[in-house]
Amino acid sequence: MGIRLIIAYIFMGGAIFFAIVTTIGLIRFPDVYTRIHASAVVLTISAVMLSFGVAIYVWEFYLSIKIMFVGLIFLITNPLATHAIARASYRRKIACPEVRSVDDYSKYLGRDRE
Amino acid sequence: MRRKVFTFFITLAIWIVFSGRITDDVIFVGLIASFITTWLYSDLLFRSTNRRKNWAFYFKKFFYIILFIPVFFYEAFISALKVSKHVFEKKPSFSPGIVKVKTTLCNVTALTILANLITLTPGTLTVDFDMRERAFFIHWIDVTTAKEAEMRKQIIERFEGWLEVIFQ
Amino acid sequence: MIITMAIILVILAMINSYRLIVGPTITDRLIAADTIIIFISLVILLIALYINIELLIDIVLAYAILLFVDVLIFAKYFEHKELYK
Repeated sequence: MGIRLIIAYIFMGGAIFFAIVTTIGLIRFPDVYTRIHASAVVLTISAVMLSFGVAIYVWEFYLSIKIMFVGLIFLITNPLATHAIARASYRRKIACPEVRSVDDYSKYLGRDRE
Repeated sequence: MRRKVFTFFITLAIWIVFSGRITDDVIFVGLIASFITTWLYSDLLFRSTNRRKNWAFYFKKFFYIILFIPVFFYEAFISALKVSKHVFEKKPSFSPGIVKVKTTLCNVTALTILANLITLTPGTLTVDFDMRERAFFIHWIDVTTAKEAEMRKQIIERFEGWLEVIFQ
Repeated sequence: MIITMAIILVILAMINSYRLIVGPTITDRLIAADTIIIFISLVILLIALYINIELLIDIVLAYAILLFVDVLIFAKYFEHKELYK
């Protein structure tokens, strides 16, 4: 068991830890938008770290580049998708944030509707 | 013409990486496929520019892109740790709100990457972008200040310098 | 070791389906479905490592891109619902 496999297992273990954090956050958080936070940030890092761990584990040139490309696609597309979901659910009033200490966006939407 | 040649070689390189080996038939099919792709879609990858810079300019840009990737991963990793601290609290305590932050960038690609970075930094989520005022609407999990300058400093000022150098 | 990680990810996906079934609004269900699909694609990646089949990695790649297009289409549909009647 070389040093490379140990690094790969460290990456994969971190990915599993972040996956568990994602699940707990998705179950426990009180609001829709905070759930989106858990899903956007932690899940993306989990997917990227697991694909990097697999790429280090395999350690062949073409195959590793391909697996890293999978991680890169997750890193780029998952924040975009969650952003689209948040925007749609705010605009259609599917779910509103619970505590609004500062809310500039509703003013902007009201100005836009005139 | 130069644009089409660049597109052709980039699509050929992606084909070879995805097929995973270099043999005669793979090269043959890849040449045909990337020729068709270049012929149809070559104006989507690069935009045509009026004035041409020298090579050192593009080399500097490429160097900064290579240097930017570890910063990106580091910020995302730290943000994941900070959100997971919120998960293990006994009762999750937030004071969420949506704030408006203005930016100075004007390139479309730079704005997209900045929005992605804002989503990946701790406790912030991009909801919308106003094209007339050049302002992001950001859902923030812990609103600590209401002043515009401090918000700018806490959220986006770390990345604007990098993106301004890369996409100019 | 690898197969243990795959089993843990499958169990987490099963726990996430609580939010898919119970979730009060449609946004919760969409987020939960997104999470479950990403977990399952990571499981496919680990299985490809375990039984040494390279072809499964292409499937993961196609799955990731399809997931992005899927979520985007759903979000656009819920945003402009009255256009599609």
